[in-house]
Amino acid sequence: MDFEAIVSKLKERWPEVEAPAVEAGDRFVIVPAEKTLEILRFLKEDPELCFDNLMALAGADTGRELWLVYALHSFKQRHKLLVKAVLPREKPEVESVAKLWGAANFHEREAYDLYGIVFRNHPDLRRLLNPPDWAGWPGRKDYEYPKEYRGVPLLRDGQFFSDDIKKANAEREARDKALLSSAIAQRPQ
Amino acid sequence: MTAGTREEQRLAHTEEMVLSMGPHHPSTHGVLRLEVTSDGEVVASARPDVGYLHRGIEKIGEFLDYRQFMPYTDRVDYLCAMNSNHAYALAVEKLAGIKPPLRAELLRVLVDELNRISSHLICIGALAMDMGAYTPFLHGICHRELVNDLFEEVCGARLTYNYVTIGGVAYDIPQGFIAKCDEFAVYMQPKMSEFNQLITANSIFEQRLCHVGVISPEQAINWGLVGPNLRGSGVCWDIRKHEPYSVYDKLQFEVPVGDGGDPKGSNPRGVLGDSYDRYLVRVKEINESVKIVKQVCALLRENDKLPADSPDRQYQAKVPARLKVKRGEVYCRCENPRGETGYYIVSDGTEKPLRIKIRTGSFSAVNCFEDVTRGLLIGDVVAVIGSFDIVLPEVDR
Amino acid sequence: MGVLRHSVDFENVVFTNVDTLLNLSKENSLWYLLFATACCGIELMQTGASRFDVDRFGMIPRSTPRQADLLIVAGTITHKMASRVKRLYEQMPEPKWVLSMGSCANAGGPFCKYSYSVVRGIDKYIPVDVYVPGCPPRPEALIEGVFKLREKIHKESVLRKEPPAGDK
Repeated sequence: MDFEAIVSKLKERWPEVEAPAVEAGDRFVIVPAEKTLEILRFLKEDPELCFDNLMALAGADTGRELWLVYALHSFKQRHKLLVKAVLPREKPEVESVAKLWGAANFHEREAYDLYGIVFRNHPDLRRLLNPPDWAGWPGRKDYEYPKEYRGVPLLRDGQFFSDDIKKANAEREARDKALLSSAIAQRPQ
Repeated sequence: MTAGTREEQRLAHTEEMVLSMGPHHPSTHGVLRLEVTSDGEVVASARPDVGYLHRGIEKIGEFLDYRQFMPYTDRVDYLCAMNSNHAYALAVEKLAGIKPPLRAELLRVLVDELNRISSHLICIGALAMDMGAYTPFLHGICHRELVNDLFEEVCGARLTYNYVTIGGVAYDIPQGFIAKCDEFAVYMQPKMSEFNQLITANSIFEQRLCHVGVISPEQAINWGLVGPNLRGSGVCWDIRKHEPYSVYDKLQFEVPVGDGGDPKGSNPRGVLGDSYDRYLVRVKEINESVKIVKQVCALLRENDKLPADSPDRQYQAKVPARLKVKRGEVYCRCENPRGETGYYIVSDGTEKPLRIKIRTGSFSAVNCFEDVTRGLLIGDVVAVIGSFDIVLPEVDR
Repeated sequence: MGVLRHSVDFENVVFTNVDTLLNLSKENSLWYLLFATACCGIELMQTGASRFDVDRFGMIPRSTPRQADLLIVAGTITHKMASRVKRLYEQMPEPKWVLSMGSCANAGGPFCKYSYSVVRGIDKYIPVDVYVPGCPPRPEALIEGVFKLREKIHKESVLRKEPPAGDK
């Protein structure tokens, strides 16, 4: 089935599903965050759609909101679909799909680890990739890199993070400008 | 598997103990830690604990240009670095609408398949080493050194190549390279039957792998297994055949699938989806890759005859110096030796991507680990890790 | 080289001092711990295999730190892993040496600018004797690093405060 047919089938049951036009790349379907579990269950169990393979589950941070993207694939029907849910930054919560596809277990733990998206009813939701006492959600755009971990500094002596370099450059420029303007003001007329 | 009468069991009073297997252990393929709860030798649960090699590669991609990210894709899975480069290049080209020329596609497939051979050699050698046989590993590395020599001629590096670029490949092949590849293919053809005589037909090796870590086809699809792990369970799915990319639709090769339990097949004493099936799929894939290398060499010889300024003879498409990609997202996948490697790239219209997510085959293999190893012996857990061909940088990125 | 201090008219008699004898035996039988995290680990395995063969220098791989003299830190070390490396180092008996292989173990490697979880060099946790640069270093480079370590071991002195005069 092609993309339009899948979207029309979804829109029959859930009219709030959108499929915006794109400039480049794959087309995707946006679903509301509260209804992800029922829509994905329909996508998996409907005999015409039959998406029995969860290829990937990714979180993304656009700077304004968080996305949760499911990439689905069907072995029987040989079609693919990208399903996206948009979540607010303050409290991103969504139902877990670990009971539909066992593959979702580690993917959801990784999304929790990197973005802080909480999956309700997940069998074992804890950090996967970072140490258990790591602070913050590293994947987010506003993540502050830690200066040290358990007493060991992160950088070597003389190394800067790029934000520090930018800040240092901006401060130097401002200082030079201030010096120059004060020098011009003090010049004998 | 505790033996004895009920009275003896009551007197023996065994308890379960929790062991930490890893992150430094001679039998794990990288820094994988397993929290094994076992009653003697029988494992009640082996929970994987990963993240010991988490370098934040996906976050690094958000600070760099599309082209600057290519060396990091090498380090995601260093045993098949050419395939990883190729997968990333495919995804970006799909998003940016760039079409590489024919010669570049042929060169990409050639190095992909050579890398598949060398990656599988390490995997089956390491599996044999975990079972206690040291010689097959040395044989495997001996053949792999020849592939390293070929790659050194092409791009200068032995392990992390950074050869495939967005729009083509970085360098053209030197004179006489196609003859050397043909020579290597002729050399490699009888080596797998030699390898089979050495270890595959060994009855101890077979007994250690048959009936161990059995995964049915439905379970394999549910757990998201890919690549030889999926084909070892009987599901015939190979992205090169069923969703062909590059020039794979012009090549003839078979897709080996596990057939455990079939008395006329290659695994008559096992069962469908056990570790021996997964091992045999990899051995057969090496033979198929050798066939592909020969076919691609013939196609490259024909391509050499074209005039030097013909568009099919170029090895790199014209890509602007500042590559700005239109706003959009793409999920594109490629058949690596470890399964499908999918790149989900989101672009916001600038030179740097908004998000790169790398989905790898070993990630799903570690995911299903706890369910597969319930009730096995500790030695069998080692066999299952080896047959899954887990490479930890893929899992942790 | 300092082995032969006095020549005698016998063929099978050599005079030397105990320090040199100890150093020679230590440097010609460096048993290294099979510790490999990432890409450099593959180059380490290929150095121990048949083409480059460090076994001819007396180096064999050991899986347990209790039987190893040399810890070759090959691969990227993250903060999660670093405490385990320190524990492995502490479990090795004296005398022991550390060789940092590859850019990641030297100073963080290609991840030194933008990564949040990579330790910028293993010498933040354990003392390092020799650094071998490369990403990954070729097996020949690793062998050269081992040779530098052997030179360093040759200059050690256990029994005297300073090495005996006339020794190189």
